[in-house]
Parts: sequence; structure tokens; C-alpha cells
Amino acid sequence: MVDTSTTELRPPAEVRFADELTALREADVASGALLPPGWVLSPRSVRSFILGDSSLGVRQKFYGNDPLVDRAVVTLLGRQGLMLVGEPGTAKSMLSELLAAAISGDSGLTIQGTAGTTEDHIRYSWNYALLLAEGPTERALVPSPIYQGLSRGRVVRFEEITRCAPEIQDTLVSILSEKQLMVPEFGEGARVAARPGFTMIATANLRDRGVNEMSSALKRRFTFETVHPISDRAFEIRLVEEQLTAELGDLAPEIRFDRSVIELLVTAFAELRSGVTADGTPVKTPQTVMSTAEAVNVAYAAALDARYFGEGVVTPAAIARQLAGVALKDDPEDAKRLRFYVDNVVRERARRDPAWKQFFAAATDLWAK
Amino acid sequence: MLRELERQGVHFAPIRHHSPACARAVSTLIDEVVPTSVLIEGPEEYTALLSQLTREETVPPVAILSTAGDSAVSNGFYPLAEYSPEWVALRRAHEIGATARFIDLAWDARPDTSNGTGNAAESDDANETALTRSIQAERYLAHSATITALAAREHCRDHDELWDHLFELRGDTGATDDDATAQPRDTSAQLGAADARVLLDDVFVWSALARLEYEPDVLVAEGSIPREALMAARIAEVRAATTGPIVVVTGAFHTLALVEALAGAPEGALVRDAAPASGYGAPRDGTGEAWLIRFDQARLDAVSGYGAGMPSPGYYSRVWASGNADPTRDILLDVARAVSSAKTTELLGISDVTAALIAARRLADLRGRARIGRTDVLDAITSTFIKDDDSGSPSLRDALRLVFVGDRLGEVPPDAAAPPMVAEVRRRVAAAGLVIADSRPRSTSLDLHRKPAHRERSRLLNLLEFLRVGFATRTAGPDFVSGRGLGRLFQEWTYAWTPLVEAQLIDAAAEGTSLDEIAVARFARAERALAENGRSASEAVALLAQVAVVGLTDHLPRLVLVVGQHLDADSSLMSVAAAGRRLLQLFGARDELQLGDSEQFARLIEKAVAAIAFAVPTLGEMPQTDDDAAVSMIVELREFASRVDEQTGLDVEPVRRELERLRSVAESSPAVRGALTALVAVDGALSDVSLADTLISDLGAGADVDRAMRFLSGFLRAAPDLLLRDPVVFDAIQVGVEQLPEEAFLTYLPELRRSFGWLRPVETASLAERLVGRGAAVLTATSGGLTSGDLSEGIVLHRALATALAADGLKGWAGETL
Repeated sequence: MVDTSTTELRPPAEVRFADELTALREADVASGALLPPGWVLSPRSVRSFILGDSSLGVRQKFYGNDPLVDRAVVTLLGRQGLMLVGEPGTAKSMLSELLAAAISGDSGLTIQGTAGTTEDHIRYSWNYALLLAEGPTERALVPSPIYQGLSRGRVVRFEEITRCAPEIQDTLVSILSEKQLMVPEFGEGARVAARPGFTMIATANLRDRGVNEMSSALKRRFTFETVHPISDRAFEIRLVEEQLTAELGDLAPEIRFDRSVIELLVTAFAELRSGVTADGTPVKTPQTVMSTAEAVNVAYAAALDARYFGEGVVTPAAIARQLAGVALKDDPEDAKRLRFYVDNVVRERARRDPAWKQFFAAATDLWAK
Repeated sequence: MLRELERQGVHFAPIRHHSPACARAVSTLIDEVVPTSVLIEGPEEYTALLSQLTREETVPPVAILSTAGDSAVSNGFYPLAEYSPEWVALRRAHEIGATARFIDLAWDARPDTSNGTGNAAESDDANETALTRSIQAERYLAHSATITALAAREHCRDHDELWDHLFELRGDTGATDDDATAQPRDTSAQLGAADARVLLDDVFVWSALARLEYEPDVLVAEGSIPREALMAARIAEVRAATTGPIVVVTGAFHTLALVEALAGAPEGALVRDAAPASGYGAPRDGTGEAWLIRFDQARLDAVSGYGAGMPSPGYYSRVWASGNADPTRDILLDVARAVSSAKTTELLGISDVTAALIAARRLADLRGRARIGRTDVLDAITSTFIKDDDSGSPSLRDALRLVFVGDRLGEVPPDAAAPPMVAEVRRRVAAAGLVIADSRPRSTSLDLHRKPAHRERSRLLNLLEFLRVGFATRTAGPDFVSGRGLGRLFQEWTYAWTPLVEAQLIDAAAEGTSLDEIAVARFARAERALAENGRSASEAVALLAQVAVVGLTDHLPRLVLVVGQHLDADSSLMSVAAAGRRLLQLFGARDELQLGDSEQFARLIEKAVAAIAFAVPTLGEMPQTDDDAAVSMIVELREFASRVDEQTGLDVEPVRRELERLRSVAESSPAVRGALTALVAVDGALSDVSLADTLISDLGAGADVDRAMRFLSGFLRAAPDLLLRDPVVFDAIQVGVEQLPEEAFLTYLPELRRSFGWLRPVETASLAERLVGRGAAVLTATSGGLTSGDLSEGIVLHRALATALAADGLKGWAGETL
């Protein structure tokens, strides 16, 4: 029933890493490790799945904050849910997916939070034709991911929980404290009680406008973990390179990019993100999020630009052109801030470094007024 | 080799400084071996202090302060906590009657490695002073590549966590290996003899691994080889001269070298050859320049931050005190209590503590540790005590500091010799011309403008006042920190040298060995607090002023940078304006304060001007309740701008431009516009016609009454005398007030009254005359048709009423009029 990865654009984690999960499961059996009720792997194996274990051929998937992963796993062992918060592009959703895949073997029980999320998405709804034909039966009920998670004892993921209306978010409060869902349509006292293994991982992006404040009753049901952007530059460069190669897939051999170009991209992003250059000069931070994921997007766009419109070499000029797309997303002031950066920091660097010089030339063409 | 030496009766205890696990192991070892001599790594001259160290009144945390020469750069601390292996060793030795000795190279005989010449990897913080230089530096642990790789493999965030993981958190079993997978959890017994040996052996291997990464010439340059040569020689001497077992307690980094040297191994040649052919002679006698002083846990933590021992003294102190019981629950309770008592809305209750405790246990299990470790507790706190998306409130940070760092101060015997700083300060104060022959209070008057010697004195007095040793107080005269009294010529101080002052200085000795050092440390703290509390230009300038008045001009350039940063980022007009004012004052006093390069101050003032210009538009958006404040600010800014122009010649056009723009924007707060219009008229920059136009449009018919009143209020506040001097203004305001409908007039009467209250009495009088003279308002004195007969009747009645009320005992009803 499961499609193989060549036909799906992006298979879930449990399919992509099926072999690693099998290896970890076998290791658990061999060592006689204790599995918490409802979990398919032991906590230590879950940790190894995410942080890597070379002896079992498991790749590291989350970088830069090992204790965060430890704390996340421990939180999920307890009664509370896990809330991953942070700026966009810090791999919160990825972590959530990996945790669900490792703990329950299924990362698909996901609710996407939007302004249009209703209670039906959270509890259950009905197949109205069957409802009319048969009355409220199991067959007529359309279970939400939470319903399924409760009845099967799986991890449920709630992405972008803060985008839902607060009243809808609060539906979760009693579900999380009582670990059951009442289904009055099935009769008196009918309910779905949580099987062991049920827990929730929510992600929240607290940066955006239009995000609703969570009620404190709901906050208390979760343990908060903040996921920070990557601070190690060398590490970020490597990561961007790897991600870019992965994204390009088959096109990768046809496109050439020099490390210095990636370095330039990562440096520019890191400096704009943090508001200060490597030598300590302050720069104005744009409102738009300059995350690592965004950097990869820019690099990807520049690569495609080079492949289809250029000579197959990614140049700093291409990066400069694509950067405009990032910069003009949110706030019109961002264009000014970026210009400030170009005028001050990049101009200085352009004197000494040829890559920056190209970047500067392209950028001034685009933005200098 | 170790075993061979043991057979000869020399038992090595390789330790990590301030490690409770090593302290327990050393204690067990001493109990088992029952040595006659205990030799400890520490400058030889400390042996003479043993009598003080072993007294009952000496309670850790304490430190031995070594001074060598006059330069503060060559001072160092040798701290001792109650869980330091060296402390345990010397106390235990005393208890069993063994002879204890310090056997390391004397402090002043050590090569000066404070410039980090030897090891490039040691990346010394340029601000490291003797305050934080520990005599027990162990940088090798932090910088060893092997250890870093091992830490990464074990998912430990740094070498401290790795140490805990492998050594501090051992359960009590016979079999241990360096593989950090699950160990049986058994916290019942004291570290048994077998476990102690295993631990010490493992520590030995651990540090040997780190040591083997260092090339010989690095070891020499870094200063280890000469010290090890001496220590080896001393051990050999003691072995030759005494019978009975010897226990040697040294940092594990040195143990390998000592073992190789003493066992005659070929690798030990480097150390053996470093010893002088004629030997070392008798050990240094007398304390030399070494003093036993009280130390506190915060200082202990600061010293440990540079790689000399474990972090978080408060935490390890509790671990030590709780023996084999788990201190986690009490630690969590104390943190929760500290946070809750900070009286913020944050309250942590039993459920939070329980959740944290469970999380800590689970984390320890997940990480394969037999006990809950420091990082497990900290992670559990991060998970459960922080309820939001931030990284912890200030009250949590304070609570963590309180519990994990601790604030305990140690004790020394009351008759211990006092450190030289006291004498030094007396000398300095006397040299400055102050009379301290007795403790009578005296006063002095300082002429900062004309007498350099007085400036010197002022700096010293400011320094002592800043350090709060209770020696001197300023009673009058210019105070450049708060910006008061700057009009005065002389600074007045009173001072007295009392025993209290001496006591304060001795206490402060824990922070440094000279006044300047302590001041620098406190300034560093203030700077950090400044950085944590967010952008405030005015606070930054206050700190700058403080540094300037105490004369630490070397630190000014750095602070100038900090102030610059704050000015760039601070968006509060009040703060930036205050900063600008203060900077101008400092600039004006640059000769008295001997600020040196006044260029940098001029640059700062420029920045302040820019920042003010940037923030001026906010004045236009302030709500009605802030009208007064906004108008005062405008008046002040104008004055500031002209003073800057006068005193520094810097370009203040940006501010003037912004103010002008504010005036021309119609949506700005009317009070602000009114004020600006008045000021511009005073400057003569507005033609009569435009002034008239503005006033008519804002005050005349068709203007919104509320806005008109605010405009008028701002106008009169800023330049009240315009009303009388300028006929255009007079006319316009006259018209404006006249055509107010009756209701509106009554509603705004209080407002009007306040606005006109800005006029001086003389002006009010002449205004009244003019109004009457114009015939626009007729003031007639009318009487309401009462005769003098009525008046006297009235008076009689009045008196009768008063008497009647008094007779009835109702005097209170009478009030004041009767």
C-alpha cells in the first residue's frame, strides 16, 4: 500500500529511513532494551536515530543541539506534550517528524494548523451520506489524527498550532489532560481512551503576525523547547552544501558551485540574522527570517538559474539576484536594510575578495538607487 | 610503573581540582594507606600556612593569595572548597597525624605564562586579570582534541559534562569501564576502597591521554616541566628521608610525568633532566608573599571559568554535603522557591518540581548515567521551569545563580595576617595628601580646574567611594556621574580611616589585589549587566562617567565603543537625550577629568545627536497625557542643540531639521506643534505672516477645540513671553479664546488656566492691563447691592453661629472659616 520513494515527491521519514529504523529495532531486541508502552523503539534508540550512530549505519539528522533532543525524548516519555518553538527554518517540523517516525513508526498523524482549522479537524467529523443512511456508526465517523492517535497509541503532530484560533486550540486542553475524547454520538459515556504511546508534538512559529496567543491552560499541558538557528558557521556551510546537493538530486552533477560561493551566502545570512558582522560592525536585521532553510532556497534557485539560464556555474552574482527575492518578502523596510548591508559591509569586503566583489557589483545594480 | 612505585610506598592520587569524586577517592586512599607524609601540589611556601589551614576556624571556601612583586599581573589565587581533593587531603593528613607538605615550584619562581606564550590553543581572554588567574590552571582538559572528540561521541556538550558523565556520576560497583553505557544504579555506599582505586586509575589514564597530545617544547614553554622536575625531586627526597607510605596528591596532568620521572623510565628523561645538577636545596621557608583569605563561591566559579576545576561550586557543594544521597530534589525545591519569592508573576509549585525531578531522572537514564548529573538537572529545569518560548526569565537566572553558583563566604581565623592591599591603600591615600593618622573625620575641598594634585585626589576618592569601602563621601560640588552640581567650582569631601574601612578592604581582597583590579572587576560586572538588560544609552553613559571619574582611563576606549553601540540601538528618546546631555557635560569637563582623547567623546556626541534626530519623530506621536513631558523635552532638546553647537561646533542640523519636520506635520501632537511654533518664532525664523497663518488655522474659527487648546498650551509653555511681545501672537490668541463657545470655554477653563500660568506674575499683570485697555473685556467691580449695615449684621450672625456650635461641642463642624 505504501508507494515507493521514486513516485512520491517526499516520502515520510519512516519510509525514507526504513532501513535505519529496522537496524535500530534489531539492536533493541538484541540488547533486550526496555520499550516504553506503545513505543516501537527504546528511548536511546530514538535518540540514536536522530543524533546518529555510526556503528549501526544511522546518519545524524539533527545538528547543533544534542541536549535538546534528549530533553524532547524525555518529555515525550511523560504526560505532557512537547512544544517546539522557534523561528521559521530551524527544523522544528523535521524534528517533529523524526520523533514521530522513531517513536510510533508513523509520522502521518498530523494536523496542520491554519486559520481555518475547526474542531472537526481536531476531534472527528462525519461522512454525512453514511450518517444519514446508517446513523452514527463507526463506519460513518471520520476520525481526526488525534482520534486515531488516541485509539492506536501513536504520536500526533500538530504543526503551527498558534495559527489556529484560540478557541480551537483550547479544544486540546481537556483532551491532553484527560487523555480521552468523548463521542456522545455513540451512546452514553462512549469515549475513546488513549492507549499507551499517545502523545503530542506541536510546533509553533512565534514570529509571524496573525499568530494567536496560546491560553495558559494550554501552555501548561506542554513542555516548551526552543529550537535555535545554527550558530556554528562552518557547520552551517556544510549543511547548506549537503542540502543543496540533496535537493538538486539528478541535476547535481551538471551544476558546479564553489565552496566560496556557499561561504559567501552563509556569511551574508548569518550576519543579517544576527545583526552583527564577524568583526563586530552592527548591521540592521531585516524583518524577514534569514534562516538556513531560506539560504538553501536561495542557493537552489541560483543553481537552477545557472543550469537553465547560465553556464552551469553558480556565481556570487546569481546569489545576489536571488537574494532580492528573499529580502522583499515581508517588510518594505527590508530593502533599505539590505541596501545598508550592501553599501557598508559588502563594499568593504569587495575590495579584498573577488567573490564579494562580484556579489557587490550585482547587488548594486539591483538595488542602488 | 605505578604499581612499582606503590611497592616502594609512593602512592599517587591523580586528581582534578575541585572534583568531589576525586576528593572522596583521596580520602579513602589516605584511610587505606595510612601514610606518614602527604605531599600536595601547591607552591612550596604554602607549607608554612598549614597551621592556619588546619585550624577549626578555617572554613572553605578560602583561598591562598600569592603576590609577587608590585604588579597585579603576577598575583594569583589558590582556591580551596570543602570538596577540593587538596583540602580533604591536608585535613585528613592532619587528623591522622601525617606530615603534610606542598611541593610545587614557588609562585615567584614560576615562568610568567600569563601571556600565553606557550600554547596557542590557550587563547587567553585579554581581560583575564589576576582576579581570575588560578594557580591551578588546567587548560589542557578544555583544549585536548581527544577529549573534545570523546565528548562529541558521548553527546556531552563540553568536557565538564564528559567528566561528570565518566567520573562524578559513577555508581558504586566493582566493575567500571570507560564505556558510558548503563551502569547499575547503586548509590548506597561511600566510595569503597576498590572503587577509589579504579577511579584514580581511570583519572590517570584520562589525563595521560590528554597529556600525550602535547609536544615536549610546548610543555616546557607552558611551564609544566620545571614544576614537575621539582615535585619529582621533592618526592624522592621525602622517600629517602622517611619510612612509611607517602601519598602524592597532584593534578592528574602531572602525575604521568612524575611517575615516569621517578620510575626511571626513558620518557621521564625530559623531567629528570630539567632538574639542576646540584639539586634544589631546602624547601622555601616562611610564607613569603602568601596570604590566607576568605573566598566566596562566586569568585570560585569565576576562577573555575578559566579552566581550573569544576564549574558551579554551589551545586558541587551540595553534592558533597549530601554524601551518597541525591541532592537533586532539594536543589530543585530551592530553585523553585527562589523564583517564586522574586515576586514576579512566575510561580513554581510542587507539580513543577516533581515534573523536573522525574525529567532529570529520565534524562540521566537516557544518557546512561548511574546518578543524576549537573547537566541533567539543568536540562530538566530548562524543560519544565521555563513555560514559554524564551530562554528563562531574569528571576530564573538569578535563582540558578544563587543555587548553582552559591553565595557562601568562607571563614579564616581572626588572627590571620592581612593581605597587603590594606597597607597599600593606606600608603596611596597618604600619598594623595589626605590625613589618616587617626580615625577622626576630616574634610577637603578640591579645585579640579586648577590643581592637578587635587584631580589626582579626586580620582582616588571617587574610586574609594565607588568601591564602597566606607572611607569617603562627597558632600558638595560637581558630580559627573549623576550630572549634578556641575556649576560649582570646588568638590567637597569628608573622609575618615576607621576599622570598618580596613575590614571592608580585607573582605574586598577576595575580589582582587589592588583597588584598580577590584574596580575593573566591578565595572566588568556592570558592563555585563548592562548588556543583559537591553539597550540603554543613558545607563551606558553613566557607566562611562563612573569609569572616567575614578581615573581608569585605559578602559575608556572600550566603554566608548559600548556607549556607541547603545546609542546605535537605543530607541528611547528620553534615554538618548539624557545620554547626550551627560556626554556634553563630560566633554565640557574633559580637562578636569583628564579624559585624554576628547575626539572620541566628540564622536559619541555626534552619534547622540544622530540618535536623537532619529527618535524625535516619536514626540509627535505621544498621547495627550504626555503633552507636558513632550514639550519639556522639546525645550530641552533645543537647548541641548545650541549648547552642542557652542561647545563642540558639531553639526546639530539633523536635530533641528527633525524638529522642523515635526512642526510641519499636521498630524503631530498639537502641543508639540504649538511648542515648536513658539520656539521657531522666538528664533525669528518664522515670518509674521506665516506665524499669523499658523496661529489662525490652529486656534481660530473652525479649529478643533481640543486640538486648539493643546496647541495653545504647548505654545505658551515653550515661549510665554511671546504673547506680550508679539502683537500678531496676541491678536491671534485673543481671537482664538474669544470665539470659544461658552460650554467649551468652561470645559477648558482649567486647561487655559494652566497654560496662562506659565506667565510670570509681572507678565500676567501687564496682560490684564492690556486686555482691559483694549476694551475687549470690561472688568467692573460691582457690588451686589449690600449696604454696610447688612455687612455688620452678617458679621454678628456669623459670630453667633460660631459660639453656638462651640457650645454644642461641634467645633469640628465649624471648619476653618468660622
